[in-house]
Amino acid sequence: MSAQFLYGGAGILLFALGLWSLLVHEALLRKLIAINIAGGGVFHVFIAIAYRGDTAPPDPVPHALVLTGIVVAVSATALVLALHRRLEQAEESAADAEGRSESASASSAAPPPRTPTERTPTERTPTELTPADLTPADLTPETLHPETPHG
Amino acid sequence: MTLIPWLLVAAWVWPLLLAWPVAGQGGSWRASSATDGAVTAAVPSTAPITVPSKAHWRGFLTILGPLPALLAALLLPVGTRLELPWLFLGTALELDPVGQVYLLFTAMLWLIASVYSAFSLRTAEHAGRFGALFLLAMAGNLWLIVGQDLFSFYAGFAMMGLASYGLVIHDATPSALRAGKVYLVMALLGEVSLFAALVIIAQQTGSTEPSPEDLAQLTALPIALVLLGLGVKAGLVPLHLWLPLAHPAAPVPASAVLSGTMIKVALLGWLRFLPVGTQALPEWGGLLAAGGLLTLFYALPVGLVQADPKAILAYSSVSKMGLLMLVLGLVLMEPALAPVGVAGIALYAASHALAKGGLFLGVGLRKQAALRPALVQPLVLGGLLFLALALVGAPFTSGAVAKYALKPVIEGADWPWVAAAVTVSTVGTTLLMGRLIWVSAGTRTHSAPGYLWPGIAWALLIALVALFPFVLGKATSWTTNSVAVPLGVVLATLVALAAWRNPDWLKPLIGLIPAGDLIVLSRPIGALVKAFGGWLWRPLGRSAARIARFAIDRYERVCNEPPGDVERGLRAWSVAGALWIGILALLVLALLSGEPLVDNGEASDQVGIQADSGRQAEAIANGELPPD
Amino acid sequence: MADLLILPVLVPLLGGLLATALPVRSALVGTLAALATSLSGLGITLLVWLHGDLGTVLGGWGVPLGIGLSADGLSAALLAMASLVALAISIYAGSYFAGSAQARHFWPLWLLLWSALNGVFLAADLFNLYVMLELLGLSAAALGALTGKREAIAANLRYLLVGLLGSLTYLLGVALLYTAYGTLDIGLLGERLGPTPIAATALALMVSGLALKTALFPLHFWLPPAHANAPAPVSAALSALVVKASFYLILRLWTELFAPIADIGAATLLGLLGAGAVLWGSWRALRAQRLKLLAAYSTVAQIGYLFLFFPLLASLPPGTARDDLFAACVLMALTHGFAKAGFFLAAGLVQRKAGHDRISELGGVAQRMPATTFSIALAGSALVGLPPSGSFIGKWVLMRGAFETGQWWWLPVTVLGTLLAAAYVFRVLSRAFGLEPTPLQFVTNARSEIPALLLAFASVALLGLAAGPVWAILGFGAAPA
Repeated sequence: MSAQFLYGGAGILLFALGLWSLLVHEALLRKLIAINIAGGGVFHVFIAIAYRGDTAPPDPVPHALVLTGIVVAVSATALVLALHRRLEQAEESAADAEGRSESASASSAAPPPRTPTERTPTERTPTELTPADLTPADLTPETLHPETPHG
Repeated sequence: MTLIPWLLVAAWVWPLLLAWPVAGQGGSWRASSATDGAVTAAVPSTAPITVPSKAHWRGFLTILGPLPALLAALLLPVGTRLELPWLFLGTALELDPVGQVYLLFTAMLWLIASVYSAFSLRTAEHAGRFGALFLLAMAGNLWLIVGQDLFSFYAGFAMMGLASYGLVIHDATPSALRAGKVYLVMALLGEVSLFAALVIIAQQTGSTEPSPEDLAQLTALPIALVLLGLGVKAGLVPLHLWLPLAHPAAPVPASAVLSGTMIKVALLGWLRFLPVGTQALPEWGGLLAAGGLLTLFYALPVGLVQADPKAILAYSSVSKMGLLMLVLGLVLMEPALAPVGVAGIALYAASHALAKGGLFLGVGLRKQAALRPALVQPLVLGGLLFLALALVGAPFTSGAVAKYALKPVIEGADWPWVAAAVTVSTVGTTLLMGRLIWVSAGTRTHSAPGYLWPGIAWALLIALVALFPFVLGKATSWTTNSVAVPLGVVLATLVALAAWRNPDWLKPLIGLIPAGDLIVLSRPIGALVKAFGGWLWRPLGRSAARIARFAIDRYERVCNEPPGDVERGLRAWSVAGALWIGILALLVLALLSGEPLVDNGEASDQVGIQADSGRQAEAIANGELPPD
Repeated sequence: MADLLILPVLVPLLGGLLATALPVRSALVGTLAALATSLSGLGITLLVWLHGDLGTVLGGWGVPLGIGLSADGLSAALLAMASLVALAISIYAGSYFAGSAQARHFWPLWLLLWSALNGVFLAADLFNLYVMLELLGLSAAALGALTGKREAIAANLRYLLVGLLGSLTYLLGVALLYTAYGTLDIGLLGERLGPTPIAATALALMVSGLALKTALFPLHFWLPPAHANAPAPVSAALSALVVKASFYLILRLWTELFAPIADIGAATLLGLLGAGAVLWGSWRALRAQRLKLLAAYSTVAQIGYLFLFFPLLASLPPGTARDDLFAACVLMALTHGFAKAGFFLAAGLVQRKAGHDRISELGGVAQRMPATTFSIALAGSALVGLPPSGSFIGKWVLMRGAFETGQWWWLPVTVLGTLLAAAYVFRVLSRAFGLEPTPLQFVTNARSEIPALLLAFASVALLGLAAGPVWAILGFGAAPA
């Protein structure tokens, strides 16, 4: 029984950790990992439920649910990544367009929305780079702090 | 014969149906080049017309709008009733005695006004839009008269009020747009308080078609809300602010119905939703009577200094509504007066509606009817004079008969001086109408084509007004006001003579108070107050500004954004997340604290289930146990 | 016959697959599939209307493992609304995306969304509801980002993450329930559920997760940018249908499954949030500079009205008065579905024609498109709650209920919200009155204007004048007198 509680408790703890990380971290990839951790926590809870003592076979229903849940989580992750990639592209092209138009007329376009917590790239400290950020495509300042979704 | 009650439905549905083709007047339903016709078949539409300019005939459909209502008013016996339980949440249409009078004069005035509008606005820009909104307002006005339940009244009232907004701003001049804005704000306030009042009435009486006996149990709140909500429509001072702005701003036929029929529905609403005749309401009745008296006397001097004939007429409407509110207030104070009073109010409303509608149309004709033959304009002026006399209640006119009908209430009231006050107001009204005739006589005519049929319709209206006393009134009633009106006429003539001799004599007075009185004056008064306050509080204001700037600076520095957009702050994940977790925690707390309603036996049962949930689940999963 | 319940879920799914496989013909395939889906949805509604509640379990597995589907009055009412609204959106989209590369992505995603939506309405167990909710969220976010514009993608990324968080929280609640009661079937759970701390916590988790997805104030932060930046048919679907799915679930959980626990205190909390939504959403809509942003904030406000019903429902004993309130709540949700879809579709046309949707500069365009302006006027009057729209009846019953239960404080909220709504609707409509020349035709593009017009018309006339059927399909007696 205590193993079951330990496992279930760990799941709830994981959920809380994931939630915390989702709310406080700015970078999108961190948020994505956070939400996956939170999801993992919920799956842990399900697995803990399935446990029915050392001798009895585990309840198959939660296992089936977890499998389905993993499939859903994988597709959600894929969609977030795909949208993230599209956002990068859109921002690159927008940045190009801005670069061109700035020289022509600065006043015509409204300034892009700035979020309260957004910082300019120079304010960023190297410690904020996480392993997840360290793919070459992600190293441009705009992509590490894309504008609106985290603000 | 069983079909005849359906006239009560046709009365308001028919104008609604006509609104569709009329809206397309001057154009076709859709581009004839559009390819897919299959989808359009789902919508009632007329056949596509390839030559758009030919579609002006649809404007004449407006004239057909009020006909079923007129037929219903003339043919149906009082008490005809039709229940439509499937409509809305149950609708009942009925022709009650007051409703019949209302339906009759409303349909008549709408008919004449629609002839006027169909011909005079035929070639105008957006004639289709005007026609459709005109029909919508008409439908609303007729619906609330025949509908006996709260829903129908409110639905008709709202439809009429909001469609009229489009009529008021039709000309899209800056003054019309401003008038429209004031109208809309006040109308919406009125409608919302009426809505709240009706909901409470339904709740307190337990019925959507409350009888006067049901209404006797109303508390103060719904009565106050009804008075307030309909007071806006009735022009009860100081809720009248929109009226002298909106009525002159609208095109002539719209002004006629706005001032003639639409403001009268407030009285109808009060008669239906206040405990008239069943319960003495000394406080509320006194309040309404006092408000009516104030309205009656306030509007007269303000109207006298107007320069626009339509503004003069609008103020005259305000004043006359004041008289009716006074009478209603007296009836509320003394229920015994109710039978006489209610009939009198209905008769007076009818008389005033026809005369006032005719005056508005006449002013329009005076401005735009043909100059030739040379007889036309003098005839128009003569018609105006006659209608003005009818409005003030000169002997042998409709006004005299109507006034006679109100006499028992005015003389039987607890306040003995009311009769004297009303006589004084009659003199004042006579002066006001004298002013109208004076201004109209001086109006320069810009004649436009197409006023022949409006003129004929107007003549018909005058004939109706002329016949009114001899059809509806007793001979004794014909000589009412035989002192006050001649006195007023003499006074008006004296003033007119003096003004004719010395044109500059009264000039400083004219335009002294702009139309819309308080609302227009509010700006200079506000400026004055502000200037005075600024002088008085300058040091204080300066430090307040300094504090405000400091706060804004701090805020900007903290949030690195201009102040004002709270939403952006909300979008920050940490803020949103904290809020969310807070809500979650509150929910848990509320749900845990607001607990067991269930007795112990069941609760222990639950614990049992909880304890061996695993085993049970397994059993169910393996199909061994039937699920509970 | 109950096996037919699978059709509203299966048909769009197959249609979506086919549309993916035949990208060149996706519009045709999509339109046909939309028609079939709509018919199947309406068919299920008809069956429920005629025969009462339906239920089936797929795959021959028995209740806990098999996928259970069921339809009662509530699901049937929402299913019918979704079928009609989504059909109109599909017809509109056919013209909106004609000749655009976005059509290839639109149709599969749209049909997937529709499938998930119907799935939410018909699913009979809590876990399948989770799967359907996730599918709905994923397809909605993908659709919302369809334009590829930076703002749209950013807003929908946020929407996606919020949605994921919401569904995970919901799932955690489901896990707790399974721990305590050993079943996920709604019917079985309803029999076993009692006022235990675990059930209370589960309810709180599920409702707060769903509140996040249904954009209940102050958790609405993701909605305005996501809905305002999506293509018009998608905005219409998101605002009219997708938020309704999670609301439907909250309503079902709160009033049916968790009825023994859902007490007045917690319901008052939801009501307060709803009141905040009404006032704040309406105020923001009034201040919005863009037409679609206005519509999005109006959605926030309208969702708020639906939550005002909760404290009233909680304080009334089962009976006619409570039934009336419940039906009025559903009626308001349905009306908003029609009205907001019509509004967004019309706003999209205005945006197309003008090249922007800044309200202050729309005068000329509004006059050149009479049918579209008329749609906005009709839908707007339903949003305000003018008679004879369905929301008028909804508000009537709401205010009456507030008085009956002595909770008069919801009355000023409703009144103020109505006034603000009138102000923002007339702010748009007053642009249509000007001196620009009269157009020569009422409808300029039938295929896109007629669906908007019909939706708006339905919200005003259909639901208001004949509200009785809503009461009937929910299994209640006659409409309130």
